Amino acid sequence: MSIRSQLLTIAALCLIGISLGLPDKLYAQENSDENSNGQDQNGEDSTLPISSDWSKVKIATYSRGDQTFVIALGPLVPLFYYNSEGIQKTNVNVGGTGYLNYNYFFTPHFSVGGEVGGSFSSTVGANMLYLVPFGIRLGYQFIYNRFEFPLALTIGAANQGYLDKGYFGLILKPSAAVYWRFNPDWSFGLNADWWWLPQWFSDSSQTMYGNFLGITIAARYHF
Amino acid sequence: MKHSLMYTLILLLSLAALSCDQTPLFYSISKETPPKDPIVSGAPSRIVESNVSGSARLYVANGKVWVYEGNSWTRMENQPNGYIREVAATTATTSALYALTVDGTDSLDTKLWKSLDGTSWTAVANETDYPTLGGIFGAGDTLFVGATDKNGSKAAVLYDDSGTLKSALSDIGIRDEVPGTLAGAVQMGGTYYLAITGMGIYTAATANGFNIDTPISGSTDRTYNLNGLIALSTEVVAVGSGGYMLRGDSNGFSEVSGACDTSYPYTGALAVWTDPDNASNKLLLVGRRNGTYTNGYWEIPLSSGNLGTISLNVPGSSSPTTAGDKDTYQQALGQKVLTALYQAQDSELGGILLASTLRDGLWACRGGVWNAEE
Repeated sequence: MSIRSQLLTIAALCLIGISLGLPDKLYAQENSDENSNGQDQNGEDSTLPISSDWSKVKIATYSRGDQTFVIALGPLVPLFYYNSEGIQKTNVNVGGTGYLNYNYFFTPHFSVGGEVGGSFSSTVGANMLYLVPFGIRLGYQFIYNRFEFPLALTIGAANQGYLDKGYFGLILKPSAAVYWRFNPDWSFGLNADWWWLPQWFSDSSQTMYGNFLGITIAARYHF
Repeated sequence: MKHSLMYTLILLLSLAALSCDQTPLFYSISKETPPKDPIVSGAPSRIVESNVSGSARLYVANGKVWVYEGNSWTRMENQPNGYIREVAATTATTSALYALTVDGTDSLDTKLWKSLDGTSWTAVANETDYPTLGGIFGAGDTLFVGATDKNGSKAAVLYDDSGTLKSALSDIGIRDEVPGTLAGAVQMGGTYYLAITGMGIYTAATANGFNIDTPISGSTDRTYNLNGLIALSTEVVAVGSGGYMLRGDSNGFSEVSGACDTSYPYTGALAVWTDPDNASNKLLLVGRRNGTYTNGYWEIPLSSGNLGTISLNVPGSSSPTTAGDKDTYQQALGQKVLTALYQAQDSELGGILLASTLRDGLWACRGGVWNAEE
């Protein structure tokens, strides 16, 4: 990240902080000779028709070149399988998942990055299902005060393992999250990912579309 | 932007192509059945069938003796004293049920018990120089038992002679490559066969007619590590943890082509299965293991009751077969290491197929699906 970008980020954060908390103080400073009733020392009404312009200035928190790195951990909830015969039970128990992702902002809202993760889930038959997805990540982020709401779609592949069998195929993972900006470097939040894993076969009865929900707590490093 | 869309499309199409025709994991998992809690838990012994009580019963031990009368497993009311490690049964005029017990934690204080009525037990006298017993097998009308001396330096095979143990084979020097344990005993055509790990297979017409110096040719290679023996129609089959299967009779044994693979050790579990719907369909079931996920047993079709052209099949993958479905077999019993297999012979017992696992209790195949007996 360039010095220019860092300065812009810090400046943007300062401006946001100023817009949220400092106008009153600034205004107070501008009127330091007023008493509590808005009168000057001569007892005359000294209120001037001046209003702050800071509230009208919107400084983007992110700018091109900003990057984030996320680490997340949480449970993976099996939802359902479906195929041409309808909804099928998953026979999978709630498991665990974790992932790392990287995001590069091209605009204050739009980012592109990559993600790699993994999950494990026991089955009702006391076996284990492993999913190891990776892919590219397209993101769009909304910001409200110190809260950030990144939406993302990860498109990639997942290596899937069960007993001594395997499957390698497509995964689509839309996700939504909310982060609270703790400081300029770190934000923390809650993330929900929908895992869509198709397993296609020429025998349509064996084709299954797996659906899982990952709910993770995440830490995001900004640089 | 056009390039990005094109690359994304290529990526998606590539992944879709790669996704086709692999293993249907979700489909397989959707067919899983939850394992039951085994009523006979832990590491059950070999399963034996006996009619000492007046009607056909199955018996198995896991510290206590359990009995199956055709509907459910229950603990025998009268149990021999001690931790019951094994059961065996003899047939014909000397029909009896045996139980081997262990006292203490060192497995050295052993005792053999005998029941002629399925309720009361009497201790079998052992006045030989081999007080520590381990490995009991009913071979037709005679009970054979492996034994070691009190120093653990020599092994022997004893047999029950009307309530007293006598020596069938003795003075077997124990060393690393010769454990000297009795791996199996069968009777075929009036002839007894004993398999001793590290020594070979011995034969005799009478229980006291064995000679330690004359193992059957072709059975003595120590790499076989014999751990199982079964009599088929007119031939005897032996398997070992070295991954070898042997076939033969009193004239000699030979390795079975197509059934010897050192990376697939046999567990010693052996049984002949008869198709309930067609008695001419018979399979030899053999326990094997390979890695974490490939255990259970394999099926070998028999021809006229003997080994024909060898074809080792995973249950559920060919016909005839013991399991209704290959996937559900592999998800369940296919994961377990088996120590024994047995199909009930008496019609009152329904031809049920049972398996003792190394640590997951007693399982049965009901309706083509394997699960623990509860």
